[in-house]
Amino acid sequence: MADKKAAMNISRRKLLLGGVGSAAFMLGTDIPFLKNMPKGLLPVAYANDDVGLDDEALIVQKEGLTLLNARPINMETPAHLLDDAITPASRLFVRNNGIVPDYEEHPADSWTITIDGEVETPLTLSIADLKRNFEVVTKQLWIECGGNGRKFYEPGASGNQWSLGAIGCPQWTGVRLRDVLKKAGVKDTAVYTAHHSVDMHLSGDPEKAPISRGVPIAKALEEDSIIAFEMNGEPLPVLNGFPMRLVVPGWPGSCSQKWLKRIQIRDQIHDGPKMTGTAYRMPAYPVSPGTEVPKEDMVIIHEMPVKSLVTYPVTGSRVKLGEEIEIRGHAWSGQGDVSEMEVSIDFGATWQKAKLDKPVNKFAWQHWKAMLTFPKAGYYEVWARATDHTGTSQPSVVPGWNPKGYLNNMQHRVAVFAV
Amino acid sequence: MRAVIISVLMLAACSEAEIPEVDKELQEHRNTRVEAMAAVYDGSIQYKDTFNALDPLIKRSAIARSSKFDPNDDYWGLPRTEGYEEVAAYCASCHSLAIVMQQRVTPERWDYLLNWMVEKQNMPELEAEERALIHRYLVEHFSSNKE
Ligand code: HEC
Repeated sequence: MADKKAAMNISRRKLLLGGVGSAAFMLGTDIPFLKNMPKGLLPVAYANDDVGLDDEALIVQKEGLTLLNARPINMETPAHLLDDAITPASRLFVRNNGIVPDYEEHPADSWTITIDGEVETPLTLSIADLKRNFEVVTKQLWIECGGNGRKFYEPGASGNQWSLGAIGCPQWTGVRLRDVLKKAGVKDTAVYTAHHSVDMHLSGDPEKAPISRGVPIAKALEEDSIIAFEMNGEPLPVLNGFPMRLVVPGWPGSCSQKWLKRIQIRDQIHDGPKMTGTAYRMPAYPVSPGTEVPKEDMVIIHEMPVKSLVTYPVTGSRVKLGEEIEIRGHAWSGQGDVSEMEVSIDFGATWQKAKLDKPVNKFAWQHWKAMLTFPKAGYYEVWARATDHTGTSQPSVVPGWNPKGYLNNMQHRVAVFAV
Repeated sequence: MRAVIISVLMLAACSEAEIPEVDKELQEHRNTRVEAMAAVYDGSIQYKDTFNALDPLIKRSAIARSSKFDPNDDYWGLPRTEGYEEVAAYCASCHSLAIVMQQRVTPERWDYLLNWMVEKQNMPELEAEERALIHRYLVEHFSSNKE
């Protein structure tokens, strides 16, 4: 049994990197590199995990994030670390389905993407080609995992148990997806995009993609989606798609393929991995918690719901009784603008309006703040709710249960002690 | 006249008695309590279940009760009941067991996931007996059934 276990436990990444057989890579032995790592960056529990050195080096680039899984790497940002107006690279969450491509094998200057399928002229373009032939745009766009908030469904929904922090809003630089598709000449037969990358399936099977999703051609032709090659003025972080990725705002993050290699235009709804079954789909009708829904009744998610976060103060803070404090955060919606933001300190019995900024561009999150004083000493919860321009706002409790735990936009609450 | 004044005074005294002012000592005592409450509050609340402002339901959830992934343990912290060796052997080669041990899904969903792992994710098919054992183990420790 022990041999069998040892044989099965070597991660595929190590297999690929030729590290197999070396006893130092076996589970439970020390990885010297970790000893040099600044303390407190990695949760202690993971400091000995059987992840490859390259992955460790990538993980520590993220500051203060919670590691949900080290193989594959999935990390979320605690709400109070999302306080920046523009999310820094070190604080953008990571959702991976497979093995992160080796960035040294894929330098940015030799990287190309191909546009093919239902187009008049297939194109192959490097970053330099994109810069030369298309208008370069910089936009602040939020990106959120469809499963953000999954943790709060009861019974549990399968997948990484994201709480609140699979969201961020950095500034992206790239070219409009629309401009590139127009240049290639989208045929009338075009129905859907299919996005392809170079990350490897966890099983190590080179024929198999971990994920390949797409969007209806109309969504791809909206002006907000971009092919990005920079984030906050720097090359993309490896974990977030270096050197090129899509950013398709408003829809689940999985539509924004990382390590983008190819955009294939298809004459049918794309059926790549994680397009079918229950992945990124919701039941066609509301179901009672725990229901197994037949595949044919699961429909593809389009817009993400309206949502907000309290990024200051951190939950559990103390405030001086009688002192006015600023509560602040961000709000966003898959429909575009958020029109109203409110906070409550009495469990939703009464609400007061917060000051809400306009977005810097469509699909940038909007900052909000409110000044609060607490009437007497005690334990409070600050609840926050956003309402979008269609009049839809966030529920106080977990919304409709669904098999994969998507689209949880319940109000964020933070605990505050007035002492 | 005097009687009226007295009754007014009495009324005043009466209403005073009904809404007692919190005396200073009591107020201090309460403040101490609030402070004590704040002192035991765990800042990493997302993964704890005291004072959970995020979701009162999470207290009831199996997350708090189920065993946590432990990379330092030979079997990653899997509870040592029948089936743990099989789970360690079959479920940790592609991904770490962190993704397995986070779950608290229904028994039906575990069944679905075991199929999905084979049909869509390249897992070698398990023999019926081993599959049943693994399913039983997962349901026992990492499902919504866990009490
Ligand atoms: C051959 C590779 C392979 C093996 C072996 C394997 N898995 Fe997986 N598993 C995957 C892949 C790939 C995913 C998807 C990862 C992702 O998208 O984050 C996955 C995801 C999961 C998930 C998350 C499901 C979800 O809804 O997202 C669970 C739970 C899981 N596996 C349990 C198991 C268990 C239990 C076993 C052992 C019986 C096992 N796996 C063995 C490849 C494998």
